[in-house]
Order: sequence, then C-alpha cells, then structure tokens
Amino acid sequence: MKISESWRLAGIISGEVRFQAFLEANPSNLARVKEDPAKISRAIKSQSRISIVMTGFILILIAVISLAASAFDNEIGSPDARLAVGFAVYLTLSFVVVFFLNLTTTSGLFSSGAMRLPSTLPLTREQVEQLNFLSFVRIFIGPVALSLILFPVGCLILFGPLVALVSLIACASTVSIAIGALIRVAKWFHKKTHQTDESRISSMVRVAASIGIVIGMISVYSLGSYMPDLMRFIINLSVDVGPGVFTILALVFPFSFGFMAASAAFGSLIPLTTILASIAGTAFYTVIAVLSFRSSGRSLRAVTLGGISTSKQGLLREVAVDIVSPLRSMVRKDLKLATRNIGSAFIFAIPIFLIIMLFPMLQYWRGPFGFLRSMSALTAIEYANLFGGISLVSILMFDTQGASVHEGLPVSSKLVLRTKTVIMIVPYIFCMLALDLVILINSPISPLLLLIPIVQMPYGYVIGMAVGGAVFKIRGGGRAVAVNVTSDQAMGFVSAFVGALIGIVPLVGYGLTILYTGSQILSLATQGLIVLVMIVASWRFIPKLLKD
Amino acid sequence: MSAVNIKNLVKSFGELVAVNDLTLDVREGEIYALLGPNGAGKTTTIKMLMGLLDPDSGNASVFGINSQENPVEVKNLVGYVPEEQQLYDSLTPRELFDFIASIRKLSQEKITKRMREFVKALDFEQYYDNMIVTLSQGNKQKTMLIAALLHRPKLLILDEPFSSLDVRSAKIMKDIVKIHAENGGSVLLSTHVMEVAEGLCDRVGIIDEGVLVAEGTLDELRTQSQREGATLEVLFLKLTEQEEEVAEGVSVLREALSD
Ligand SMILES: Nc1ncnc2c1ncn2[C@@H]1O[C@H](COP(=O)(O)OP(=O)(O)OP(=O)(O)O)[C@@H](O)[C@H]1O
Ligand SMILES: [Mg+2]
Repeated sequence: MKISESWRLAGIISGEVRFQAFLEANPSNLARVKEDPAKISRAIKSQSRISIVMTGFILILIAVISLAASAFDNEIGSPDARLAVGFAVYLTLSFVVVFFLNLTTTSGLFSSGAMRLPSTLPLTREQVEQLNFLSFVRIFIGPVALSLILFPVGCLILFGPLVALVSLIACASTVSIAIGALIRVAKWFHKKTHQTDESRISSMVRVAASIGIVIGMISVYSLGSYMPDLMRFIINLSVDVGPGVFTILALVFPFSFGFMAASAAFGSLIPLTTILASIAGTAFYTVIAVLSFRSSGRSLRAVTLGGISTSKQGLLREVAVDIVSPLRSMVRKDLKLATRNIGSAFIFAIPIFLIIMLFPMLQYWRGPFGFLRSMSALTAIEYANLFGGISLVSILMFDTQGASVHEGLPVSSKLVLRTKTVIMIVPYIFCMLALDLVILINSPISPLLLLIPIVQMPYGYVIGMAVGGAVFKIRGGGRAVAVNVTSDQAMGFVSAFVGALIGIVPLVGYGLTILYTGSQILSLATQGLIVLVMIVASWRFIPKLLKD
Repeated sequence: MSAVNIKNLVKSFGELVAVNDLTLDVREGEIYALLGPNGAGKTTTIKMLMGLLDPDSGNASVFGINSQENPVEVKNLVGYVPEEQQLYDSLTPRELFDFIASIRKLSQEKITKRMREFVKALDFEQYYDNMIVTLSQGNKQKTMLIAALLHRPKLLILDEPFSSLDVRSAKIMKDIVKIHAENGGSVLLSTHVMEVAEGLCDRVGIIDEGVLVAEGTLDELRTQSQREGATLEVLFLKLTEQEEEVAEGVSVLREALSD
C-alpha cells in the first residue's frame, strides 16, 4: 500500500475515532445518534474544527507572549534569564495544552475500538501498524505541527539559528513526552473510569481525575494572562535565593532546554556550572523523549491489537446483592454513572466554572466603592441559581441510558424527582461555599454578607424540585423523563430560566427589606423565612403536578 | 380474578390505529402467547398494560389494578422484559441488581440466595462484574430476565424474550417460565417463534393490524380454521391472511436467487 493511500485511510479512521470519542464523552450522545446521525456528524466536524482553531490560537498566544517577554520585557530580568525562563514556560504550557486538549479524544480512542478497524481489513500486519500510527498522527497533527513550527520560527527571527535549532529539539522532545504521557494517562483513566470494583478509593480516583481534568482545561484557557507573572516569579526566586537556583533548575525538565538556549545566545553571561548542567539535562531529556516516542508506538500497537482489559482477571467476586433504601440506591446509581465518563462529571465542576466566571465580575462591581455591597452578593447568587437549574437538567441526562430498566420498575415520578434534587443540592451547596470564599476576599461591606449564601443553601431543594417538575410536566406530561440537553436545548433554557426565576424569590425578599429598612439582620430573616416557606410549599405541592 | 384483563383497548398514532378495540384475558396460572406479524400492535398493547402508554380508550388492568391509574402498583406485581434492551451501559450486572432489588425493597439474605441460584443456572457468574456494555446480546437478555424475576412476580410479561439466547439458556428460561406457571404464576409473552408458542403456551392470541383475529388453545384454533393437524405456523399464516403473500414472495426470491 502506498503511503498516500495509507494517509487517506488514516484520515477516515481518525474521523471515526473522533466520532467515537465524541459519543464516549457523553452517554446521551448514544441516544442522540440514533435520532439524527447526520446532525451528529456535522456537530463533530464543527467541534473538531473549533478545537483545532482553539488549540492553534492558544499555542500562538503563548508562543507570542513568551517570546515577546523574553526578547523585550526588560522589567522582568536580565536577557539570559528571560530567555531561559520564557523558553521553559512556553514548553511547560505547550505540554499542558497538548496533554489536556487531547485527553478526551485519546481516551475515546481506547474505548471506541475504532483503532481496531484496520485489523479487519485485508492488510498485512506491517500495513496495519503503519495505518494505526498514521491515524494517531492525523488525530494530533494540528497541535503537534503548530508547536513544532511556531516557536522555532519565532526563535529564528529573534535569536538566530542556533537558538532556533535548540528550540526545535526542545519542542520535539516536549511533544514526544507529552504524547507519551497522554497515552499512558488516557489508558489509566480509561481503565479507572471503566473499572468496577466497589472500593471507595477507586471512585474517589474517578471523581478526582474528572475534576482534575476540568481544572486543567480551565487553566489552559486562561493561560495568557498570567504568563509574564509566572516568569517574573521564577526569575525573582533566583534573585532572592541566589544564582545556584539556576544551576539546579537547569537540570530540571523543561528548564534544561531553556538554559541550553540561553547559553547558545548569551554564553558569556552564564556561569559555567549552569551551562554544563543544561547540557547534561538537555541530553538526558532528549534521550527520554526518544524512548518515550518508541514506547508510545509499542503501547499504541498493544491497544490496537488487544484492547485495554478493564475487567479484572482471575478472582471472581462472590455473588451477592446489597440492599439500601430506594432513594439511596437511586443516588448511588446516578453517582456511579456520573463518575464513569468525563462528560457527566462536569456537573461536579460547576462550582469551579461559576467562580471562574464570577471572580472578575465581582472585582469589577467592587471597583467604584472599594468594597462589596449586598447587591453584588445577591447578583452572584442569582447566577448560581441559574447554574443550579442547568445542573439539574444535566442530572436528568443520566437516565437516557437505562430506559428498559426503568420501564419495569415500581418507581414513582416523585421519587425520581426527589433523587435528582438530592444530587443537585450537592453542587449547589458547593457553589454557595465557593461564593462565600469569593465574597470574603473581595472585602464585603459587612461580614453579614457571608450569611446570604449560607441561608440560601437549603433553597437548592426548591430549585431542584421546581426545575425537575417543570421539565417532567413539559416533556413527560407529568411523568418522569430522561432529558438529553445536548439535543433538547429548549429544555436547557427552560431549566436555566426556571432555576433563575424560582431562585430569585428569597433574594428579592432580602433586597426589598434592605431597601426599606436598611437592616441586614432583618433582610436575612426575610430571606430565611421565604426559604422555609418555599421548601414546605414545594415539598407539598410540586409532587401533585406529577403523574406515574 | 384474571391476571390480565384488557378491554376494548384502542391506541392510534396519528392516522395509524396500532391497537384496535382489543379485548383479551390472561387467566391466573396460564401461559398466554401473543402472536402477530411485525407491526401488529403487540408491543403497543404490552406498553399500555404496563402503564407506559395511555390508551385512547378502553381499559387494561393487572389483577384488578388499573394500569393507567396505578402503574407503580402494577409494576410491583409484574416482572417485565421489554423488547428493546437499553440497560445502563456503564453499570455492571451486580450494580444493576443492587439497584433494582433496593428499589423493590427485597430482603438482602433471601435475594442473595436467589441470585446465586440464578447465576449458577444461567452460567452467568463470570459476567457478574463486567460492565454491561461489554456483554453479548444474549447475556444482556439474561440480565433483563434475572432482573424481571428477582421479586417473584405474580405475572411475567415478556416481549420477545428468547430471541438471542443460546440453546442452553433458552431451554432453561422456558423451564423457568413453566415452573413459574406451575407454581401458580401467570405469563404473557409475545413471540415470533412458533415452536415456543406451540410447546410452551396454554393459549394463543393472534393479532393483526391491531385486531385480535383468533384466540384459544391450539386445538381450538385448528377447529376454527378447519385445518386438522395443522402446525401453528400454517394456522398463523392462514389467520393473518398471509399464505398467498408468502407463496408469491418465495417464487420471486427463487427467480432472483437462481440467476
Ligand atoms: N411511538 C409511536 N409513534 C408512531 N407509531 C408507532 C409508535 N409506536 C408504535 N407505532 C406503530 O404502531 C404499530 C404497532 O407497533 P408495535 O410495536 O406494537 O408492533 P409489534 O406487534 O410489537 O411488532 P414487532 O413484532 O415488530 O415487535 C406499528 O405500525 C408501529 O410503527
Ligand atoms: Mg414488538
């Protein structure tokens, strides 16, 4: 088979892999693909285009910022230190970008079995391996090529050919190590998320891994703003602690490459020990990169030929049934479903999203007064209410998988609604705690402001019941239904709207009281009273809207 | 009291009348098979009986409990295996059974003992902790069947239950259905497999285009269609007026295949 032919086939396979990864990222997509496959393919095409553009954009951004800071920002430090540290910071961040932006795709790659497609074709083993390798390359080609071209070209222009050569080696090594790590972590993640022993530890690992990934992605997207600060911090470290720090850093990945580049450009400014350390480090990490490249090839081959075994071999566990109360068993089931794929685990990251969004807003609102007023706290909580509505409808998504099981079970719609509400209250309470933290660092006008989110916490129950009740009423005529927000965006909007609408009631109570009396104590009391009344009302009346 | 009572049941989807004035009974301790060509309305009938669909008119009840008014109570009494198998892909059978048994508030010791017996009989132990998505079609069906039998239901409702089972498991499941009936339980099943209906069931109801065209024991059906000693297959084709169509189809295919 000619290489051009392989390349074309690899394109088809990598398309299939992307498709499978997209499905894997969210279980409800499975239901959706049956509804309208053409629409899904379009969505995937545009999604992958967006992700390529995003990756490209982020890589350009960090390359430009780090190069500009190294070359021109005299405030940060001496030129040699700037080049060394800027270089290393770029490499670190490009590692993070390559790693996190591709983690979902890669773990989808392992679970989909799409990489096994070539082995079903009438090809020799070598051809199959070549095809697999090319498919993998095609999946990552965008970010990898960009990373290999951008930074070295920038170095060539700013610092000359010698630094450019070092940067090319450095970028290639970083990419190779990143992809090696990526394959390993994706394999591990896939195994963990699909492993089914019941130990607490393994579900903790699942949740932690999911949240870790979300945080990683968020930090990738907010990189640009803190890069110069990071460089300044590292350079100041050597000023404070002493120049020996650089020699030690020169042994550490990816600083070795940075100091190597700095030695190439400003050899006379740098102590000999540091230069020697950077040469040793560079050689060492280049060898590691080559080894990682080789072993990535091997482990890819293993994946394509054998798949990853997620079921434990050997010891069969005793057959037994573990009974808990109906409500607890539904919650337990939903949490298991939630932590078994990255898409669903996003729900637990909602408080983090909220804070990232609100932090700059609160700082802005604080601006003119120098302290935070209760109006700002109320507005922030209202955002959390809206997020609460969205998290409830996302929880309804879990059940799109198990329709056949539910059809035969004596579960009342009321019980379903209560379960989903119980789950939704957890991120809601975390949102409130997180808001308190943000309010605290933004110098609130009175410490009593911190009590507003606390009083609001139990109101998660009302929001959950109201949003769920509305969705069941609209989509199921009162029966419990599973909703797929990705395809049924109308329900996403309805949920956000109902969450915001119902959620604002106690806040309005607080706001009006403070306008008329000016007393925070009275306002808190009003808010608390409304919360109580609404809880009782939704406990009593919302189940009446439902039907079995 | 009959186990199932369906009276003048009607359900249309737009123009299409899927179930048309259907009336039938399943007696206690009886195995009743619902036969009919694809799209006849079997699944639609069963769904209304389970309270999953509201009928346009008419009534369906299980042991006197109205399916539309009190579906949760109906589901308490019934073990149901639906036609489509959408299980929780990322759970294991263990987790699924824990969930179902908890919802049904069964006693831990008793159910563990029963579960061990099922697992042994159906040769299921090695799949007990594998994610459902990795199970074969037949093992998924076993999962559903075990789930339906867990709470010793008085009535089993099975929509095409044996379609993907291997020989051993199909035999065991048929025996389970028989034992269930011998112990006084009732069964309503829909099937395309004539041997199943012939060998297993006490009575058969044949529906076509939503209408019950014939009902009774095999012997009663033979007399009704004036065909002595006919197999159920022949009777079925006659009663659903498909005999000629089949002959025609075969001759067309014979030509097509002989080229
Ligand atoms: N939700 C629905 N919307 C529109 N039409 C439907 C719906 N459900 C069923 N139908 C139609 O009703 C008719 C009866 O369907 P049903 O599923 O009851 O048939 P069946 O006897 O179970 O067939 P099979 O043997 O293929 O399972 C079919 O023509 C089907 O297309
Ligand atoms: Mg059917």
